[in-house]
Order: sequence, then C-alpha cells, then structure tokens
Amino acid sequence: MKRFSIRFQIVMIVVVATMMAVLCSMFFFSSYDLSQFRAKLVRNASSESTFLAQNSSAALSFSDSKAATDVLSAIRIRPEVQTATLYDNNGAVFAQYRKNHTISAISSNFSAIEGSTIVGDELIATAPVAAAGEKIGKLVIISDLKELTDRKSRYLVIGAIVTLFALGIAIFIASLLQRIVSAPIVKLSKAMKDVSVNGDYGVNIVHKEVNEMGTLMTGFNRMISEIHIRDNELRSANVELELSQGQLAEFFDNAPFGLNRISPEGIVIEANHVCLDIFGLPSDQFVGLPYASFFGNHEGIQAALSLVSVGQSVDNIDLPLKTSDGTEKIVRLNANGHWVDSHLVHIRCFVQDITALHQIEVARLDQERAERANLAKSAFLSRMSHELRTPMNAILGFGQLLEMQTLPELQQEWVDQIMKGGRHLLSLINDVLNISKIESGIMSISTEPVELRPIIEDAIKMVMPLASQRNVTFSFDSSSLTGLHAMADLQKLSQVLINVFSNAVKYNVIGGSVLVEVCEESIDRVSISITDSGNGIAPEFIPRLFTPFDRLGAEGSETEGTGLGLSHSKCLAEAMGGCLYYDSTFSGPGSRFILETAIAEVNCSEHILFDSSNGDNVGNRTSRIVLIEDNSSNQRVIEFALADHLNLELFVAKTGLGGLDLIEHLRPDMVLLDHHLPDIEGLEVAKILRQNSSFKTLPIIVLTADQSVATRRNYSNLDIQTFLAKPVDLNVLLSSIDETLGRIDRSLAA
Amino acid sequence: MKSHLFNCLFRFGLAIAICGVFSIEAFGQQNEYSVKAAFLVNFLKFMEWPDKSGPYIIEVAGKNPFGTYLEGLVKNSTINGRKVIVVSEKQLNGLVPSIIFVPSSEQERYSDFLQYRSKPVIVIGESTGFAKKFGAINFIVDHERIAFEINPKLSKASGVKISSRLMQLAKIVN
Repeated sequence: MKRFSIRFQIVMIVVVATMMAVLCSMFFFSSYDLSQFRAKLVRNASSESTFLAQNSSAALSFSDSKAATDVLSAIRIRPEVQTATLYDNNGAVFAQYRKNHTISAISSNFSAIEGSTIVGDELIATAPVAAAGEKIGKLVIISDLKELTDRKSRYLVIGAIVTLFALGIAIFIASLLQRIVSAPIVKLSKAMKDVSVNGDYGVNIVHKEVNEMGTLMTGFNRMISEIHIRDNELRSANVELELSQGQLAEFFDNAPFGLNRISPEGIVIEANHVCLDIFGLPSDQFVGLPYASFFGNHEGIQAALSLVSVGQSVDNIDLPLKTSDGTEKIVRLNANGHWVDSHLVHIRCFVQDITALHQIEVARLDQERAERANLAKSAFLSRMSHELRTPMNAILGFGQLLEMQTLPELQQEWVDQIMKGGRHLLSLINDVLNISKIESGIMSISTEPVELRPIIEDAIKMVMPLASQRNVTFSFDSSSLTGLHAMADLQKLSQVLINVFSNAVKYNVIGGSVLVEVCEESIDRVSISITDSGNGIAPEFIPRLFTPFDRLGAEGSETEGTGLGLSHSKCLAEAMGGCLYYDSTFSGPGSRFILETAIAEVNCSEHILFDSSNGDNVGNRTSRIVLIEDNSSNQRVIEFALADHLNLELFVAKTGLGGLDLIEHLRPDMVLLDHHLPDIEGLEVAKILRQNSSFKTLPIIVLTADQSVATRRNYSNLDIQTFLAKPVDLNVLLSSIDETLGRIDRSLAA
Repeated sequence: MKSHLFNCLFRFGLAIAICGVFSIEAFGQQNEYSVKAAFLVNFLKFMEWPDKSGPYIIEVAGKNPFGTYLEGLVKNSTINGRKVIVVSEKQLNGLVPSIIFVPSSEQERYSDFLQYRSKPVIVIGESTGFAKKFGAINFIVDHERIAFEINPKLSKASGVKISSRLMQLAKIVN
C-alpha cells in the first residue's frame, strides 16, 4: 500500500470507507428487516393457527373430521404452509392438511411446543383448540421458510448491486475530488524532487491553499529559502575554510623553516619543503619512516623525543644528521607535543639547518684560537726582533764607530768584515721577521694616497750607494708623474721598491742600467716597470722566482741575499691590493718586473719636500738633544756618533720619568726616545710631553725595534713622524737629526 | 387435585367411549343415544342464551332414552362456568329449560312444544321433518353418521344465538 501513489491511496481510502459504510448499512438494514420479517412470519403463522384453531373447534367438538379438514384446507392460500394438523386432546391426529401428497403425514407429538417458533428451517405455529373455554385439541401449522430465504437471497443480490453501484460512484467521486488533496502534494513532491535531484534551492511553490497544505507549502518555501541562504552561507564559509586551510597548508609547506609532525611512536607524519630540503630527501623517503633514523646521533634524538612524550618541550637541541654523502649537517631541533585529554596526538618539530652557523661557530672558535696563537706569535716575534736586534745595535753601532776611526789597513778590513757580516745578519733577521709577520697575518697594512714620484725617487736614492758601487745607473723620467698617487702603504711600498731596485742593481752587470717606467694601465691601476740590463733569468727559474729562500742558483755567487726579497715583496704588494710579477713578455736582454697598484684620487697634495742639503744652515747654534734610552751600549753608540757633531749637545736619561725631568729642566731642542723603557713606555713619555703646552711642538724621534703599524699610528696621533729602526744606522740618525733641526730653524726663520 | 386427576381420567375414558360410539360398524341403539347425549352437551357450547346466569337446564321430554347416561355425562361438569342439569318434564316445576330434547317416542304430542317457539329454548327432535316445524334442531343420520339439522328461522325466533361454526356443521333447513 505505501508504494502506491497518493492519488491511488486517497481513492482507495475513499472507496474502502464507502464500501465499509455501504456494507455495514446493508448488513444492519437487512438484519433488521429480516428479523422484522421473521417476526412477522411468526406473528402471521401464530394468528393463522389461532384462526384455524377457532374455526376448527366446532368440527372437533362434533368429531366432524371432514368439516375440520375443510377448515384446515382454507390455509392452502398460504403456499408456504406445508401441513396443518388438528390434534385432539389425546394427541391423536383428528384432521390434517397437506400441501401436497409428497409430504408424508406428520404424526410427531408437538405437545411440548406452545405458541409459534422457528425450529431449523421450519416455522412451527401451534394454537390450542377450545370450545366454550375448554381445551379440546391442538392445531399445529408447519411452514417452510422459503419466503425468508428468498428475501435473504434478494437482499444479497440487491446488496451486491448497491455495493457495485456505490463502488462505481465512490471511485468516480474520489477520482474527481482526490485532486483537491493530491494536487498540492504532487506539486510539493515535484518541488521536493527539484530540490533533491537538481539541487535547485531557488524553487518557490505558488499556491492558494490556506489550509494545512497551504501552511505546509508556505513552510516548505520558507524552509527552502532558509536552506538556500544557509547553503550559500555554508558555501562561502566552505570557500573561506578552504582558503584558510589552503593558506595554512601553504604556510606549512612553504614556511621558511623546517616543520614536521611525527607520531608518538616516532614515525614522520608530514614534513614541509624546507624540512625535506634540510634532510635532503624526497617526501616518500622521509614520511612514514622513523624520525630517529635520519639522525646521526640516535641517543640524542631519542632522548629529545622521550622528553616530549613526558610533556616537556625540546628547546634548541643541536643534532647531526645522517647524510648520504658524509657531509656534515647540523640541525637545531625544537619540539613540543600536541596533547588532547592528556593523550599525545603528535609531536610538532621545528628544525633549522644550522650547519653554516655551526661552521661559523667552529670557524670563530678556530679564529679565536688562531688569534690567541697569533698574539703569542706576535709577542714572540716582537720580543725576538727586540732581543735579536739589541745585540745587533752594539755590533753595528760600535762597528760603525770603528769604521769612522782611522785604523791600520788590516784592522780596517776586519772592521769591514764585521760590518758586512753584521749587516747581512741584520737583513736576514729583518727578512725572516717580516716574512713570518706577513705569513702569520700580523703585519697590518694601512693604505693611503701616496704620491709616486717622491717615493720612487727616495727608493732610488736608497739604493744609490749600492748602485754606485756597481756603477749601475738609474734612468727615471719623473716629469709626467706630477700628482699621481697610488693607494698604498707608504712604508711597505717603498720597501717593495727598494727590494726590487736593489735586486735590479745586485743582479745587473757592472756598469749596467736600470729603467724605471710608470704607466697608468687603466683609470684606477698604475704599473711601475723595472727593467734591468743584466743577464736575465733562465726560463726554468721563472716559476720559482717568488719561492722563499730559493736564490735560483745564486747561492754560490758573491751576490748577497737571503732569498726572501722577492717573495716578501710579492706578499707586501698583494697585501696592499697590488701585485708584483715577472714580465714574461719582455724579450730581454735583462729582465723586467712589474709592480701594479691602485690609483688614488687626490685633489691637492701637500707634501713637505725633504731637502737633505740644508744641514749647513744650522751650523751656528748649539742644539740640545735629550736621549731617553735604557740600553747602555745604545747610549754609548749614539754618544760617540754625536760626539763629533759640534753643534749638538747630548743629555741622556735611563728611564722615562727621568727623561721627563730632564726635558722639563733642560728644555731641549729635540728628544730621541726609545720605545721600550724600564719604567714607562716611550709612548707614555710622548703623551705627557704633548700634554704640556711647552712641549707641544718639541721634535721627537722614536728609536724602536717595534715597527708595527699600531705603534706608529699611536705616535702619529701625537704628531711624531720620525721613526728610526733599531739597530740605528748612524748616518740615517744624523741626517734625520739635521733634517729635523733644520726644519725647525726654517720654520723659526719664517 | 385428586378430583381433577380423576376428572381427566374420566374424560379420557369417555373420549375412548365416544370413539367407540363413532365407529360406524359398532353403531347400535345405546351408542346412538350416547352420541346424541354428547351432541346435546356440545350444543350448549356453541349457543348463547339471553340469560347468561344460572345453570344450563336440559329437559328430556317424555320417556328418557338416555337412561342415566346423560346425567352422568354432565354431572360435575360446567360449560362457560355454568352447571348443567338434566331434568324431566315433571321435575321442571316452572323453570325454563335451555334445551328440550323430544325423543321420537313423543311423536303424538310434538305440537305441545310449539309453546316454546318465542321463548329462549332450543327444542331438539329426532324425527324427519321435525326441524321444519317444531324445533330449531333435529338429529338425522347422514351417511350412517349422526348429524343434525338447524332451522335458523326457529332459532332466531327463540332469541338463542347459534355459533356459525355449529351452523357450518349442520344441515340447514327452512
């Protein structure tokens, strides 16, 4: 029944109800009618029997059976009466009527039956026969119930006809009227179908009903529109959710840090790109595998994970990774757990590749260690230079004094040998110290604009004594060089030039020449080429030119050298940002070296021109010089050196404080200051002097074995420009004194 | 109660006797009068007298052919709640009888009974033609069976109503 359409159901309901009503009414009506009919039959039979009984009483009284039979026969008009029998008081049949003779005579005793009743399919009516109030017999009429049966059959037929008719009418009317109920339902169900099948939430049922169906449709419309609104809201919310999920996923995937999640059992659940990059693995070789297996330090990662699993967090634990190629990779791990109801759901891990950081840290530690070593080396070198040079001061100082004496020829030669050996030893010491300083990186370079012409000329001057011994001439065209500055360390550049020039002289032929040319290679590079007219360099030696201590077969020759000059110069040139190389394109004769440095842009140049030829101007005045020097042999060398100088008066202090007292007292024209003093350093002495307004411009020459840049800068800050390296070359000392005093005189004169 | 039972038994026996009387083969002189006696009593049942009180009086005129049978038949019985008395002419003593039975032995003095013509008395004879003149009812034999004639004119004149049912049984004469 539930699978039939609503129309059919409505029709069926109406039909069934109608049928039930019809059948019920038919049943009750027919039952009532039949019972009434039956009662009527009984009543009729009863009255007929009474009538016959009365009419037959006389016949019975006078025993006139014929008459009685005649009376009884009157009942023949009632076809249903089968027999009518008159019994006398003895129960014997007195007279009888039979409808037809096929009916056998009835002789049953009906004495027990009084009145009328229906027994089985027979109606038995009895009546007493009385004469003058006295009962004289009994009349019994037996009728069949054919009439009743016929009536029943008729009722059945009529009932069937009425039922069929009612059925037809009910079906017809129900079919017509079901639309009132079913049409809105069909409409509603069609709309429902539209919604459920097509997903069309825009439907709106147009209706006129105001009953429950109308309420239902209005409710449906409202519900659908509500669903429509909510559907839209849901959709937009979904879009937003997807967007934010996508953003979150995007954030996770592309976060600039390595992120991953691992299960409480230590299996990787997911990892982002950076994480995979850090581990250097594709996703399928990482996700789903034990996290610890990717680490070089199993105990470390297991300990970290077990920390998380007991509710703590892992902060900045550095662990090495297991890499396939054996390279070192260190990650910094941060992790904490995601707990739901005290149950660990997953572990959030944050990994950072700190290999570079680690290497920097290692490098920093190495550097610190190296710096500590360097400091020790530096201190050692400084000490060595001082310790080795101090005795050299004595040797060379007194050797020079001896040279100045007039000695017998043999002794003069011995002194020459001593001086030669001493100088060689000194240059060896210097070279060794310099090279080790460069190699250890202690030597610092401070580049500044340096005008090329004076420095080249000075360097040529420096090698002039040697050149004149070998009768080598320099040719240098300085006319085009005015104002050209190189970006270089003045001292280092002149050292390189002197080295290269002295080589050009030493390895030249007697009476040879050296050509110095300056050429601007580009807007910011300048090259100085030094070409000698010597024998040149054999091609097989060229690759070994700049190897330390390699003298390229000159070991056995008379030419002095340590084999360190070129390599030292090359190091210095490179330290200044320049370079020094052998020009292999030069086809000889001789050889050509090229020194390249950067050009410095200088707008105006203020250069104090050194004029060493004006020493004569100070001849008339006696200048007081205070020497602060603790080493007695040095004191004596300088005392002897200045002894012949008529215009100089030397005062000596052995300590810095003593020197200050002396200066305060004497107000000298010049101070010769040793850097290393027993009480306070020379630098302290200079500072104290400069703080005193009287000595602000007092010329100070610093004598020191410590040629470090820092030391020189410290003195430069105090306006002290002149440094003389120990062991002091007495000629240089004297010329410096002359120069300084002369400058003072000139400035005074001006 | 006992008397009732006795009465019933008596009637039962009487009925058997009547049945015997009805049998034509056994028809005889005694039986003829016993039937006529029963008919006399039964006539009372189907007639209505103007006087509705007092006993029914049956007068047997002349020589009594019933002997004591009729008296025995009515003794202790009532009809319509009234007693039935059988008397002779001499015993009448001025009473008006309900029925007078005139046996055939009284043929010479039939005319004496004409005096009852306008009185509520039914005169019953047993001779042919009796009903034409002398009495309302006359016993006859029809097909060897005792039957009776009724003259409605005479019965009406007497003022006694005779039941139609009785009339149906009777042979009507004028």
